[in-house]
Amino acid sequence: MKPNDLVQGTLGMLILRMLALEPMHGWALSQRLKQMSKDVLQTGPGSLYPALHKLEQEGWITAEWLVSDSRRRVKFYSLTKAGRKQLERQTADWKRLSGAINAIVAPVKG
Amino acid sequence: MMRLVRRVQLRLRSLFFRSNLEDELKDELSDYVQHETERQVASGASPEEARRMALVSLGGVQRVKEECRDARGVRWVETSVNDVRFAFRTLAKTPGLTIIIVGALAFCIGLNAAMFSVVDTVLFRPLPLPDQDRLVSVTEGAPALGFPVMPFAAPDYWFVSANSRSFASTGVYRNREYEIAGAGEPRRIDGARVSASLFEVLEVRPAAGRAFTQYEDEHSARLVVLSNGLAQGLFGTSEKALGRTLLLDRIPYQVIGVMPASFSFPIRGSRFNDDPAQLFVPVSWDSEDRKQTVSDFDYSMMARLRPNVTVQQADAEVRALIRRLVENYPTAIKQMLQHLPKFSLESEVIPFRGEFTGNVERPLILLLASVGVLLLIGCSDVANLMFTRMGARRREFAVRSALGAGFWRLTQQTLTEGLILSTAGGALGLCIARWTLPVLIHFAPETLPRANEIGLDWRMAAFVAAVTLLTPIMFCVVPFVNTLRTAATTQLHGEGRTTTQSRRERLTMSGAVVLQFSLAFVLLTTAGLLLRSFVNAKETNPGFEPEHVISMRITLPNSTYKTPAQITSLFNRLLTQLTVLPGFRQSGAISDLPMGSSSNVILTADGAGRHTERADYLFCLGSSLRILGVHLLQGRLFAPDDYLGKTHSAVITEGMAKRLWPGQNPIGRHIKFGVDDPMNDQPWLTVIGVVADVKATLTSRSPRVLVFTTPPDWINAMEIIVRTSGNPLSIAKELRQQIARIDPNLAAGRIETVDEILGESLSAERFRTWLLTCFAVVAILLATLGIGGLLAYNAAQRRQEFGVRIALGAQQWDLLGLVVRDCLRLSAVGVVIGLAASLAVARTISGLLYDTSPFDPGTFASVSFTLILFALGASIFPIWRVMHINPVVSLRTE
Repeated sequence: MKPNDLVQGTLGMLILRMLALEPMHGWALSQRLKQMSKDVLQTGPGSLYPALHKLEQEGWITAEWLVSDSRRRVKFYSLTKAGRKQLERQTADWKRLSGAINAIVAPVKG
Repeated sequence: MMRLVRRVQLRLRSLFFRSNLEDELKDELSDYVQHETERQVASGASPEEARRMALVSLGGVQRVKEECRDARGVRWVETSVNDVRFAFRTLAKTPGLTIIIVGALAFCIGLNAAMFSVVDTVLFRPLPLPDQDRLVSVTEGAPALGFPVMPFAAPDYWFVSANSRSFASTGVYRNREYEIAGAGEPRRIDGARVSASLFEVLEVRPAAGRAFTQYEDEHSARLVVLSNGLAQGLFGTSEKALGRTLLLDRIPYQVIGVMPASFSFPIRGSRFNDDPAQLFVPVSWDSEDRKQTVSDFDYSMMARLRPNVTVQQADAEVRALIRRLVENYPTAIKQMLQHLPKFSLESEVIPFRGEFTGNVERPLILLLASVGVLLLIGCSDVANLMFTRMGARRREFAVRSALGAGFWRLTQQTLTEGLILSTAGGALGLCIARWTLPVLIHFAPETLPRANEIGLDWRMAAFVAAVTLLTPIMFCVVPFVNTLRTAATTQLHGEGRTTTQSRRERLTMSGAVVLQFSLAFVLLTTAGLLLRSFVNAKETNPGFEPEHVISMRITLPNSTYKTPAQITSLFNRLLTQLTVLPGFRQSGAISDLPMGSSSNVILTADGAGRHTERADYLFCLGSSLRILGVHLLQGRLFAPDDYLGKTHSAVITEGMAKRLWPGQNPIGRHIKFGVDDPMNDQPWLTVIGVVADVKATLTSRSPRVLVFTTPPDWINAMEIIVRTSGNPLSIAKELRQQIARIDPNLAAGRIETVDEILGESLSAERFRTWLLTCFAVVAILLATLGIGGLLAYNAAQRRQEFGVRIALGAQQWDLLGLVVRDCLRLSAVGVVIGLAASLAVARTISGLLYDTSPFDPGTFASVSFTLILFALGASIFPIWRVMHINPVVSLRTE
């Protein structure tokens, strides 16, 4: 298993997390993702866009065409109510899971 | 909830605004590229380089787009639409084959739908009566008198009704014809005398007005409840009918109620041959009804079971009650019964549905099964045709599966194709059913219950939908799996162009043809046996000569024709006037036709032991026996001096003479109606003649035990029969006019030739024979199509082989031999399997056969011969093709 596979499934959660802060468009999301994951997560825009579309179909995020600062029509994504709930659920799951894994992989030495 | 709505909205948008979405997707991605390019430029790259890097970071625009499309979640709809488009394209490429497949399916589905509709309506559809599973029919029976099942005697009904604890309610009805006048032409219609409780048992109330009360059961009441149809026919609407007066048998009756339109009772085809009544009058028990006898069993009893009581429990209870009743018979009856040592009174409770389904169940199930077999033949036919189609596309399948099309993907596509074919077939089939149903109903026997309710309805539509969904599985899956298997293993090795069929494929296709032939064999033998039985029945000698005889039923209302003198005068005037009709030969009157419902009686013969026998009797006047053409064997027929009580004489049938006085001369012996008891004041009748046995219907297995005698007086209901020199129907109109001249108010009954009436007794047989023969013809055509198609396909597949053979010196005749051998082998195996299956099936239909063995060798032989002949006929086209193979051409295609 490549180290990234585990994280791939959580891409959706990361997107939700970021959109929870403020509505964003695709490119900005990709930049933020790169920063946040410090280039470890190799999730380029190639997987970002399909993930965005999937989340939109699920009804967790919603998209809107707005005019940006540079006067261009840009698709802005924002979190829906259902998406916020989903994020909470996923975050809780993630905490439980990563906690369990940490306990096995890197036990705190006493 | 909101999320669900939102998701549905999005899906719909994805489906119907696809191009918008595509534009947006494009914009979104190019927006990314632009942003990224700007960023790269800002960090010092040249514009071209920046753009290139932006695109690379995206990692393939098309791939991203494709994944985004997948994310929309409506992919399967889009693929299905593509499949449908693709299927239409491929089907359009072979229009001939497509038409044959759709046509065969349409025919099979259509016939199935029509037959299903008939069977469903008659046997399964609930009656428009509430809680009908609790409804039962109760009958009495006196096997020793020749009546295993008969209606109730009124006192017996009262006894059972008062003492049973199984029934929540009980009621009776008795069918009767009425002359109706006072609105429209005088005519005769079917009516019923009913107890007030009958409508309670049925749980049906009049739609307008009221029903009868207990009081009207007990007292004479001139009230009538009309059926909806009659009320509308006479008065326009139900409301207008209320309070109006009708003349029934010339007595005024007041209309107090009209039944709902859906109410039809009794059900046609029920055990005592009751027709639906168009009007109901109160039963108004009279003194005749109240007398306890063992001779008048006239009232059909219905009951509604109490909750939690089963039919078996009710049956046991009523049997016990009837036993108690017989034990408590009055002494006079007990004494009389001593002359009938075998007498016993039985009883039976059956579900109401059994009342009218009993007679038709077996033939209808047989017909439905036959048409189902037809569908099976059709499906296997279509399966083989699909095989040939897919055979041609084997390479396509191979390539596609090599390119990664999954098994399910290909299955889905094949089933789509099948579904399109079967949907077209089903839709067309529905049209065929729509057209065939009226024909079916037209030819249905008059006794078919609920025939008027048969028609297109949602149950039939659901049936067609189910068949349409299921047939593709039957005709697609086998060819498809087979093709895929061979495709996967062989095709890409480059030999795809020339391979002959695989062994598996050949076996499967041959198997389908063999199946068709054996099923067709079963259908043909069944039809053949029915046909033979029908012909045998038709050619049976009924014991009299029905040709050139017309009969007219005259019933004189008691209210006008009160005295024997009045009745005599009318009939005498009528018979005199008939002599002037064109083509008139002879006329006479008889209380009923030999095949009609005559009166029955227990009679006692003179001689030792006072032998008793059950018999039917008919009253004769005029030259009626001569007109009917009964065959006199011994003695003489009635002479004018015998009529109207001048002598007490009787003419009996041969079978009866043998039973009463075996081995003795019956002429001059005496018989008496009823038992030899002091209470019986019937005169002794002298036997003056013996005639050949007479049959009630052409299919009755034993002749009737008949006594012809002369009535002491004219009776008010007689069958006037006239023998003419030409077509007897030509005087039908004049007959009516003569009656109108004598009594304008008299409603003429039915006028029919005796030939027709006799023929009607075969209508049920005619119907099923005719239908099954049609099915058999379709079956043989489908089987012929099947074998012809297979032989042609085989020949095409072996083109190169044949070319090589010719090149090596084979004669055309040798090739012909190859095809014919193929054909004979297939059909012969089919015939042998069919023979075995038919022998098993024949046993189950033996009950429907008249004077015909279910294993009739003639039928089996001619069916085998016919099938093989058709198979050879089907091989003509493939042979023609083989004979015209040009070895040079066929080898060059190698």
